Amino acid sequence: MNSGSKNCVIGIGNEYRQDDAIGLWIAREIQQKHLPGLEVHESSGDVAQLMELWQDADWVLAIDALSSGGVPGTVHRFEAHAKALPTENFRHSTHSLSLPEAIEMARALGELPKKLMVLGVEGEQFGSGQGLSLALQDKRQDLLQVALEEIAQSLKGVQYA
Amino acid sequence: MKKKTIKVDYLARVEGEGALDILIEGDRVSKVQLKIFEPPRFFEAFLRGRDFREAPDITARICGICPVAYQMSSVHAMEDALGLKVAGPLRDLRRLIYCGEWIESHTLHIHMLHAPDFLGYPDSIQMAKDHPEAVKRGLKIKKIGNELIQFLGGREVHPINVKVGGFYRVPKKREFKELLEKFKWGREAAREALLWVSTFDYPEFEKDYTFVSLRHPDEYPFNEGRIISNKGLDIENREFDAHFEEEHVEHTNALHCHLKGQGAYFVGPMARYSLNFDRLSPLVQDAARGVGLGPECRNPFKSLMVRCVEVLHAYDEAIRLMESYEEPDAPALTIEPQAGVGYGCTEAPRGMLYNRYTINEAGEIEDAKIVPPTSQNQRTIEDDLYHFIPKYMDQEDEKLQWHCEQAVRNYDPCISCATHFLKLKVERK
Repeated sequence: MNSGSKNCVIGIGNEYRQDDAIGLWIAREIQQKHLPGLEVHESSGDVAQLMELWQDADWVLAIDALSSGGVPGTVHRFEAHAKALPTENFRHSTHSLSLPEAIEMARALGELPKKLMVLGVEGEQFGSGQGLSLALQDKRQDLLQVALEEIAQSLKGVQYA
Repeated sequence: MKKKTIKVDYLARVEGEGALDILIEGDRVSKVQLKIFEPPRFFEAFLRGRDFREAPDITARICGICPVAYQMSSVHAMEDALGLKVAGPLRDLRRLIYCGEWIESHTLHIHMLHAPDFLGYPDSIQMAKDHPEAVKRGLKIKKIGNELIQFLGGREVHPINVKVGGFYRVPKKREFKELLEKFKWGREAAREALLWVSTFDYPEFEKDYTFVSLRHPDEYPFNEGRIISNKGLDIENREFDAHFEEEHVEHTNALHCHLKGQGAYFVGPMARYSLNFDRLSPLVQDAARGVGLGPECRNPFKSLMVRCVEVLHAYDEAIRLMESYEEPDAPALTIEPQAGVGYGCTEAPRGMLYNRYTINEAGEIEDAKIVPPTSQNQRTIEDDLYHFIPKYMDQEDEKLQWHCEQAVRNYDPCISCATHFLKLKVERK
């Protein structure tokens, strides 16, 4: 990892919409590991906030829930700096842009980080309420491991427990 | 007779889920239906039996863009029932958090939802490619509004610091320092945004609307005032039910509302502006005049400009409130439950929001009534289209559809609010 580079993990989601919180949970677990040279943030997905968080970043890992009808806990990996995300699978509220739209807005404005990796975690339940579904609770340690491996592969020299 | 149907199954760039059906027979518009198919949400029902102190937190969930409006209307209604009045710094903090909401809600609508219509883009992302500086400025203007809500409310969406009687925690004066500097930038940016939207082409369209809003003796209204119209109405909050009536209409899940004996009416920024122009600061009045707006605006397409004026006002007012802030003795009034009926009417970003609650001796809510601005504007939106479409009737369906959706977006409808309780179909025969 080059000194002076900015590397971020951003957990995206809504804590009060069950599996929509998975990105936040993973980010908090990563934060607890205090990995050197890695910033960890949480975001509701607001475009302006995301653009501020990843401003001047060399590498960003964004983690968010998605719903494509697949097996809950399946991880979809996207290189968002190179290609647009599938809009229809990422959840959004009726009063804000979804993560794919936020990324395209940033791309249109020339505000994307050099490398933006997105892990989309297939959720099962997105109703009102706190707490992950049983399906994601059972898989959350595996999901965390996927994120940590993504960090380790992308950032040389990062040690993790 | 030639008939034409234009059907918009899902209205784009509005909050919530709605559709539009239009039937044109010959050269006449015979049917306009704004269909809100978002399911009813029954807030008025499940508030019953809850403690009165829960009302601001429950009603905030009606909307993610305007939660502060619901919190303010509910706390004022509860305090009215309890015979309490919040004054001084706590009153100022309530105006301040409302400034934050007007900024973020209006700016989202202006830049992300409605400006693309006037510049010929299908969405804000395409618009951003050609107008990056305007969009970046808009995103930053909005973000500062969100930061104010976060600062005072504890959270951007569904704030957690608002309670009946005041707040759970109030800031120290020194804590405003950083935010104040951002707001000074934002005030100038808001003025630039107003100049930007003033360059757009606006369809010529005016109607003799019945505007309804709050009016206060001293200030541009947020939380307090009498309910007035430009047609002679001048009443207190508690007289709302005597003059306004909700009705269920078959084609929509949101109740329609009308003035008894008069019919449709118009709430929102244009109504507020036209009824309270003299309450704006000289700085804001000058900015409005500078872009060609007079003391009254009756062209709903120019609501975009009026919203920009209100963003400028919110920034200007917020700076005044932050600079004059003195810490209150306590974050909230002491409250004890008592039986009563309370009325709260505040100015949500989209217009007047009415709340009425009946509470018992134990402080339990026995009855609740919530009338959001988008409900109140539904009939006016449909009326507008009846009058607007004939001018564009000869256009091909795709263009006509776009014009109709643009006209609906004039009202920045918040459909989730309207169903607390755009598919456009135009049929030509």
